[in-house]
Amino acid sequence: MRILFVSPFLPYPPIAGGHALIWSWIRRLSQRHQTAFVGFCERESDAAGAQEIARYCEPTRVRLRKPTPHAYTSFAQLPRWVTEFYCDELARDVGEVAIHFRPEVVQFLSSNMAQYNRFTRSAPTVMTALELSFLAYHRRIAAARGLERLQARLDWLRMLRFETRAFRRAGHVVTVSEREAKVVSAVAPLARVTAIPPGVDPEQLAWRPRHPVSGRVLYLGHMEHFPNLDGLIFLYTDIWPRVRHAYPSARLVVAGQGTREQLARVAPRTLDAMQHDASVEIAGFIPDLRAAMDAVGAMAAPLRLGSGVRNKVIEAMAAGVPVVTTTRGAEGLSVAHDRELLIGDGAESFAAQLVRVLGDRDLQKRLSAAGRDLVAREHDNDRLAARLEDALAEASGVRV
Amino acid sequence: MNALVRCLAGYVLDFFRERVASEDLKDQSVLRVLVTPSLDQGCWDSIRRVFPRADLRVIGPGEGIAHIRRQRFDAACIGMAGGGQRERVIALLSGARHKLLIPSPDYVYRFGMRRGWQALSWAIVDRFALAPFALLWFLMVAAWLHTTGLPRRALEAER
Repeated sequence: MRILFVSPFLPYPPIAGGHALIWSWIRRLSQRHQTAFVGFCERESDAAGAQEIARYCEPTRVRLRKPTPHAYTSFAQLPRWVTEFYCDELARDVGEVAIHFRPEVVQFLSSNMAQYNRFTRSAPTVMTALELSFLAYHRRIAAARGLERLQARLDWLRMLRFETRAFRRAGHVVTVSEREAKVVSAVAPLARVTAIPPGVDPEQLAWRPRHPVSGRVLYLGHMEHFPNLDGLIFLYTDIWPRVRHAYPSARLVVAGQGTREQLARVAPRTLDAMQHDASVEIAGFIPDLRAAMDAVGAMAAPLRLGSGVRNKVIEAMAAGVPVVTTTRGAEGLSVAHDRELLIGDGAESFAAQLVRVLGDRDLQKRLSAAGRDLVAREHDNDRLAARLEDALAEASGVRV
Repeated sequence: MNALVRCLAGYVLDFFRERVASEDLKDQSVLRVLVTPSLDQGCWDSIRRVFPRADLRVIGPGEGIAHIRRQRFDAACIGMAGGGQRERVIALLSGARHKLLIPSPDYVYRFGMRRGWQALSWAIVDRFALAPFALLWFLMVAAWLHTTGLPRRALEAER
């Protein structure tokens, strides 16, 4: 098959869950098919990532994301998340690659890239929904007040309208969980939908002894994704004081790209407090997470916003790290409280679960083993990529 | 309320800013650049990338607009975080040919009349004069969406 990927970001380096998932797909599919890549980069310094992608995709075209001003009229009523990703130059690239590469299927790697559909020369398309944005937008309504609430409600309806249309027009829709596949089927009943959860590579599952430091907790997230930043602020301001009260030697390690920058922008006081708190270490982006994961007693993922499956939870379980999360953080996964991980909603309950796992070695071992079993059973990247290949083949009508 | 003010400010600012890459300005002969104080190292690196050969000068404390204008800078770089409002206003009124807004190290915006008067005029008509009608239109679309039961189906399926 000739597959064209159209992406809103560079998946390499895999700095976030979505990046890692897409990067694993590109690497695997390029082994058996001809692949091309057209997408945005956020920074001029991302050129190295484009070179790495070009090793797998020929041609590869990457543009700095510079939104074309007012490309759409007010009557288009598109969410900002869509218009911010429209760029004339990228549209031209998609059109040129469609002519010269003649893709048999185009995979949009995010629903906001569906606006480039009209430049693909009628090639069959596969829409990838790493998260259902209209669900994420709906969750913001509850947190907003007054006029912001009205704004949030209108944004939600705009997003719902845009994404539903995109799903209906796509030849196939890929979601990251069965639950989200069900939602897509409810809003676009005729769409063919396949759920492909994030996975891990076999080497991530290879057994190695862990040496956890007692009381050490990891918080992991790409902070430019707001739900991760919200989770960190919630953890530090509401949960961490309770944990420290019950477990005074607890230490928090915060890992993820853009931690300081995003905290400085959104919650400068929280950043200041964290920098002066001896129980917190802001590690920033860690290229190889294995060493960091081997040294922690638990991972905390107190997520309240966003949607989709959380790659960080899967990666932590694969590494044998006991995970404490919320119902929202565990959604889309075949897990149960006290079986593969611990679930606590609300600051009090979350802190209690975190203290419980930090103080109980047997519980740590049990959760660690059950988590690894689940990942080996349901989140093997090789098997998951084969499912994506089937979906692409079905959309394109090509036999593989 | 702050978020709403930011949103409205962003809506208006949208007419006057456009993201630029270093190659967009490489053909411009820029030798003297005025910079607002309190920029972090990342922002300095960005300015150096955009104007590699230029002489950079920070606005001094107590320096007035007249004094700055007499020096005829080619470009003014305005940091959006930290520093004082006074320096930002001075940089805006400095008379420099290129005015760059720098909210963070990775993003540099050119401030000015984007894509000529015609494009700007159309954008203002569309975003201000037609916006109330567009909102009315969308409220009708939203009512229709509710009639079809789409929002309800989406939320029920999620539960």
